[in-house]
Amino acid sequence: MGALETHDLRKNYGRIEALRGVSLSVNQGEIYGLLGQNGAGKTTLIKILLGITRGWHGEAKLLGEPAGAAHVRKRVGYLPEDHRFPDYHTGYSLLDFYGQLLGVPHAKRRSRIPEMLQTVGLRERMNTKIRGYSKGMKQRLGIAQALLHEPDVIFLDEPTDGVDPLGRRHIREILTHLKAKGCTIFLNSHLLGEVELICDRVGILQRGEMVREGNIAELTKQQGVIVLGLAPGQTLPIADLASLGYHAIAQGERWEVYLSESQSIDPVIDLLRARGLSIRHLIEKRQTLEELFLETVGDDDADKRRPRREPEKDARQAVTRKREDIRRGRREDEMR
Amino acid sequence: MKYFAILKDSLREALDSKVLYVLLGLSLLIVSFVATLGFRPMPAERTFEKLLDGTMVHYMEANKPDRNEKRKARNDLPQLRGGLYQLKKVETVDGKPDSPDANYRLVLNKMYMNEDAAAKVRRNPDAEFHALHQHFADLEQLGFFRIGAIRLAPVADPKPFDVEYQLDFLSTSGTRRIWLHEPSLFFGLVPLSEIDVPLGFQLSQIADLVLSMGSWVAVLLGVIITSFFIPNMLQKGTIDLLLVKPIRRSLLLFFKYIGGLTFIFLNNAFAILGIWLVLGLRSGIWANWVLLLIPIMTFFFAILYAVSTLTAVLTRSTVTAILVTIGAWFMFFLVGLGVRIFETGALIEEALQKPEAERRFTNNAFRTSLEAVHRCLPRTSDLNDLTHLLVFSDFMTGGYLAPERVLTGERNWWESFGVSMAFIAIMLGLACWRFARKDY
Repeated sequence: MGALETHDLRKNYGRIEALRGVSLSVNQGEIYGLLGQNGAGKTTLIKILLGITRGWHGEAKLLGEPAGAAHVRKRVGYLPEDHRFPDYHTGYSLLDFYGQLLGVPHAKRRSRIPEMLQTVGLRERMNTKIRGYSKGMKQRLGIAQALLHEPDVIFLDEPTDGVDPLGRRHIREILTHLKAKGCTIFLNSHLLGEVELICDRVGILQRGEMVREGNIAELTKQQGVIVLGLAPGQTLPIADLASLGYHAIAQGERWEVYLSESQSIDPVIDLLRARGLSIRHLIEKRQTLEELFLETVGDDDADKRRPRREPEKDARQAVTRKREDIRRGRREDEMR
Repeated sequence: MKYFAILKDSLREALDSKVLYVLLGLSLLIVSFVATLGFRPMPAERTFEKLLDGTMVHYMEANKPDRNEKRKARNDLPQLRGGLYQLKKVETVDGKPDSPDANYRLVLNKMYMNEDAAAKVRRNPDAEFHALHQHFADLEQLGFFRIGAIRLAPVADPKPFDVEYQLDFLSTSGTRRIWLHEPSLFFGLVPLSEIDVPLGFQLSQIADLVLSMGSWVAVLLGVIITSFFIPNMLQKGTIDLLLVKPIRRSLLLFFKYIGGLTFIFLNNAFAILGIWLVLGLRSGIWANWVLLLIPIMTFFFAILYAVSTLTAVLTRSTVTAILVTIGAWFMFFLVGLGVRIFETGALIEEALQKPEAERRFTNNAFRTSLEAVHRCLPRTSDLNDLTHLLVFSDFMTGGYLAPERVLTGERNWWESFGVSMAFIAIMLGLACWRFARKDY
């Protein structure tokens, strides 16, 4: 049983199709990142799973139960993007209030609330009114209220918004720790660097459709490109490699070596070692998640309905296009 | 427990706005001013003169808060009985000082048409004793005093046309209410010597004035302050965090509503308890039924707050909720006023025995429509009347209440409450239904 599952989920707001048949599955103990442009349908999807939004079609399940079931919500934590805490509360009283709504017993609240506030670094300010909190403090308070009752699934919408780098690292550590305890985390964030650091899988939502989904490592892998670095002062013998049938271009202090489908990197390594060159860096090139995302969603004005993509096919096509660019560039040089 | 948390949260919100403190402060100011009032009993002769000439009965009958009953009383009131008996002498029995708590022996003189009539009475006074007792019967039945023995007064040299009677006046716990008192302000520094009315009547007027004016201010401020509660809860980012909790939406809204009512209840309780306490301490009269005004005025507010809640759920706008609620309040008032005007007009037409064709208030299609609307709307004017009646009757009659003498038999209070309660249920029901179905 997955922690959450949707199948052909659809939701309209009047004429606007917010979700157009979204199907996804998140396993228990996984950190899943949902990416998408503004208005892609990310928040709608979360709200359907939490029972905040109704009138949808398809199937949605949370912890094996129909989405929105009241007894399941006891096991769910949520931090919305534009959260707004009543500022007449203090940090402590707010968590106490939410804890009561969640049915956390009084004795447990008394011990758990200071503990949670300590975890997010707000223990010293817990008796201060929230109206005196900074944005980052409110964000941390939001994390605390989402984790107060030790939920099995946590939905976090922009959890590090407004938090300084040190705080963001701290939050990542908290999430990693939760994952180790078996908690499932569903994360929305525009900070793709953050997502790349902690998520196991991501999905990219565009115009209400899931256009790409998978393991981050798999999605960002660019097949057939090796990044190679040599010892300082040494230069890659590009011409010699070309005679072996390998194309390479310089990228700053390193080189990118392009392999065709039938080629391996071993002959390159043998050549370099034969020449007495010292290899300091050898890794398969990856896209960043941001590059992947931009490539996927593209220009929203130009793009119309984009069909579902195949990750590996796209990666090969990107390499092929790069090789053709290199060959074209060489021919132009020769003609000159 | 979770719903109690919602109530606590509403109260915390109200306290944070500081308005509760302002309202309590205003109430304290008014209560403090009322606490400076003093009431000094006037000499017994003044009170007995008013008892004898029928003024006291007139106060009771003609000052009932219900307008139609008051008008009837003024038309049907027996002629003031002044002149039948003259007060000759007043003395306390057992040597007690002159006060409303003492027992008195009165000597009354009645003049007859001729000597034979007077002589006849002296020979057989029982019928006259009964008539004299009946003179005080109205007020005695309400428990203001008891008439003890009535006898012919021993007179050394009786006048041929006069007969003197000796009457024992026994005070009760209600005597103080009809005793004339001289009020004063600021602990006696400013005497209001021109006012000589029964203490109970003074207290009822003071309480009515303070509570009427105070309730208008309190209700208006309450409408404004509580109109923020629901829209604040429905704000994006706040409502998400509540709806994700394992609580039913309809109960969330309902308990938020109750939370707003609790805020008003506390304010009402403080003000009314304060008035009850200071008037009781200053006058010695404890009008315990007046404490019923706490739930009655809270119920009054509950009607308006139900309108505010529905408007807030539909529009999420505080300003709209305030305007619609005040508009509804005004509409209820106008409809109630219109119905009363037609009722009074119809009674006058009946009293004047106008021909059917000239009875514009009785046979009126607009009146029929207005009454139909009035039947369906909450009876805020009835609640106002009930408030006035309770204040008047309790201060004047105390624990005796005597509803058949004070409360009009034409008014069906249970219908008024029932219709108002149904209105609240419909407003809240619609609000809960909409809140439960809406996407946020």
